[in-house]
Amino acid sequence: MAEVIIMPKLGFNMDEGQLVKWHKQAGDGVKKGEVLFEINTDKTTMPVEATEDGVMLKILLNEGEFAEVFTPIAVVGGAGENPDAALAAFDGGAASPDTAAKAVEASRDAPVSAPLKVDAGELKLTPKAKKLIRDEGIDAVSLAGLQGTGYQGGITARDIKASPLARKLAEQKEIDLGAVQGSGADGKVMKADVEAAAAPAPEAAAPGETRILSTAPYKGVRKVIGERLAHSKFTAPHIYFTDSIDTTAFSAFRRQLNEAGTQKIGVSDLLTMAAGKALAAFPGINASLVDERIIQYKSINIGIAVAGENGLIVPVVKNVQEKTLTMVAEESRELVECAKAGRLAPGEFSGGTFTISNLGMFGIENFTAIINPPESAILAVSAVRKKAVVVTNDNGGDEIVIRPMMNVQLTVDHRLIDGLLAARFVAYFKELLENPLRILM
Amino acid sequence: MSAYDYDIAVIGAGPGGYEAAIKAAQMGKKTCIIESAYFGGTCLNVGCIPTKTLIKTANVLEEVKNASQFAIRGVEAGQVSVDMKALQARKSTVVKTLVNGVKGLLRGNQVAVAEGRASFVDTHTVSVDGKNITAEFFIIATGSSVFMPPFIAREGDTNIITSTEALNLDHIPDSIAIIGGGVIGVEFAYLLNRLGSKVTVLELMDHILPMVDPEISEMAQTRMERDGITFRLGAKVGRVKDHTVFYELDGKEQEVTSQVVLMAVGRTPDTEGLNAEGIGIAFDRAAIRIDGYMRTNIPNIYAIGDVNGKVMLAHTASHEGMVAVNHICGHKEEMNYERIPSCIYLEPEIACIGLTEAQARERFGGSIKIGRFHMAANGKSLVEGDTGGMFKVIVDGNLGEILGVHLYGKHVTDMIGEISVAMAAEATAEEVIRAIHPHPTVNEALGEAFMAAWNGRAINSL
Repeated sequence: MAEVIIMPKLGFNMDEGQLVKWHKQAGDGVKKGEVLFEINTDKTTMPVEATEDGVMLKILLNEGEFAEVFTPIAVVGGAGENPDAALAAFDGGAASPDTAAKAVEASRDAPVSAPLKVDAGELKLTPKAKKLIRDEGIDAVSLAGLQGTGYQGGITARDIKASPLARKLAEQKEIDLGAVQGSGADGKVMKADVEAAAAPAPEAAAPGETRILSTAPYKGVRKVIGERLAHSKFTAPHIYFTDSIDTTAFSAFRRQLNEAGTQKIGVSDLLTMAAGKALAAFPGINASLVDERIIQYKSINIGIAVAGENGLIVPVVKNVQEKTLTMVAEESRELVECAKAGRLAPGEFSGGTFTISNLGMFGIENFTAIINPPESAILAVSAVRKKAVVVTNDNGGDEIVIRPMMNVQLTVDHRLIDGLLAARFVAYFKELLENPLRILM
Repeated sequence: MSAYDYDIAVIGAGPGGYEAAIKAAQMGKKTCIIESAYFGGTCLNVGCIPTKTLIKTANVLEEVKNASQFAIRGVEAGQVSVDMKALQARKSTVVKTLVNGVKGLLRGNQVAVAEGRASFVDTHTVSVDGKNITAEFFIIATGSSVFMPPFIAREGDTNIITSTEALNLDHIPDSIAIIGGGVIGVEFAYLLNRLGSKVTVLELMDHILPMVDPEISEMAQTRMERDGITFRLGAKVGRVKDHTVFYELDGKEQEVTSQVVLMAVGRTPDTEGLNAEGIGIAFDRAAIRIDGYMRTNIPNIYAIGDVNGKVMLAHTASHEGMVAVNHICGHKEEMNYERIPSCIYLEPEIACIGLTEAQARERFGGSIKIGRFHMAANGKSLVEGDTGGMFKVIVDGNLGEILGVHLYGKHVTDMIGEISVAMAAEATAEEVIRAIHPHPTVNEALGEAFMAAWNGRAINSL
């Protein structure tokens, strides 16, 4: 019997996986233990091995494409077998993909065994159990050893108290009765309960209750961002260094550049160049803590945070230390456009060594950024505002003048960067911006 | 110790109030009930029970007159008559027995009884004839009174009576005009026609008995017309002058003169002397405004039965009382007004629950299924000597949900409870069909009507 291969769930939070490379093509022989394919999770690339011998009959997912976990991506079986029959059996037999879930929790260093075996009757899961597995992110394989309490180890729908009408409606609307809160006698599920469960979200809550505008699954980009930032904030001790920069000369310089050249130079481009220069001067900032090793990079790869449709995307300008301002401006413009359109290739938003988050155009006085791991520092740039500042006049006296001031705040990972280094970096960066010609020198 | 005299005080001992009080006591609440006049309320004293007692006599009279149909000899139809004084005495005995039963039930459940008219002092206090009673919760169950429409002018020496007086008639009027073709009007029309009055019913709508599917109410109307009752549908009564009712019909003013005029256009919530407005209880017109748990705008005060104006039926009031007491005791079960049975005591009887066909079509469109079964094909109806009835059931064509059931036949008022149970349990047409209905009964026609709806055909009809 041909077997359907599904996208394995390699971690608690994995909703989908990206197929990086097929090691076998359709028609190739497959031996148990051979690597079948590699997938990308949000963390890493993982090879997946075959668990049985056979022939690769059909490939359903191209390299670079994404698939939800537990959905079919290929069929392996005996030579000449019909892969479509196996797929039809998979779709028809497995009411929920969870039934077929024989995904194996990945260990970081061992290759994963491919979830080859798919049989609808393999795990006797009731709708309630399936729902629980979905909701709690339970690995279905871990249930394989469990003894069910119902007939032949399963739990039947009859164990759930529901009115005949509720039962029919639930069947029609494909609602898991076991997950419905019953309002009838002794918690019996009634028609209205099924209707409520089928309705998207309550229109109006009773007075005093929290009213819901909308709900959306926490997944995909939103989840990746959330988890990376939470991980960063809770593992890297963040410290912050703020200063105010007089942008009088900076703005004038940018104006001159734009008058002189054809390539439009944005504020971010100059900031990127300035950061590049500062990072070259203080390589301790351009570093990562990876596997108990502190790595300082020669490459200065600067990410520029861009607000996208689903959240933040950070396109990365690579090797800024080797590039001219015009090159950086051109490259970053393309990257930002791609990012906004959601067309960034994976390599274009990864591999950064430092990030600039510029919210200046949104008129913020000052803000604190969270480090984008495995980087060790991020620079938050705020709006330019006219302020009364004290300067030294030509006579050596103090004088209050109005100047366009801009706050910058550097966040660093205190595990590898000390306060003195961070403070010197910020001071140098400020000096560059207030004497902008030096950015290009 | 509670700071109040009682946990729950119920105002009004009608079928809503007295059952709520008993339920409250059974739930362990220290309970008091306050009643000013009638234990048992309108239902026992001047409503359901006395009407049905009189109608029973009308039915017996009819059966006796038709005794020869059942092969009984020796009864001269022309010689049979009703002794109205004796009938009133029987009615009083029935009422008294039941009222005493209510008092006994209250006593037996340790419900304190205060006789007098309650008036709110504040949200936790009522004054009953000058004596204050305090309670943590109040349940208002003061019922309703006959609605005398202000838009019907009364001129001269009119002869208008209400249902209350109609129940106490010690002679049969030669003629009577009944304003209103609802349950009250139609039952009195049936009763007085049987007892010998010339009856004219004036109804504003284009059909009588609005809760009943018109297919059945028209059958009943035709039968009553055959028995001599005159129905004037679409009649807009403008005034009553002396003994004459003037009404507009087909664009012209018409009149009917009769010995008595019965005003039966409905009932209105009765909160007289209660001072409900005085303590800030909110109203919708004359009715006390409530939520799905019978709570008024004041959280410790509930209102059940006719006084909340929802559905003015004794069994509705009783169930609302259960909902209110349960809510006070922390059990939330919202009142469902979609499954309240109605019973109309003609002969044969009418009983219905849920939607009419037109209402069902409005809500569910074309996806409904209708099943009918005529009593002509029912053995027991033939035995009973009345095959003029019909059962009509309306189910949702998708799930088989029971949407409405309308019965017209012998003792169907005792049969509609089956559908009330089925609907409460959310049984579908399939469950009703699977249930075994006993033979020979009128009831077995119900299973047949559901088969006709769900399967497209019944077994015992073509």
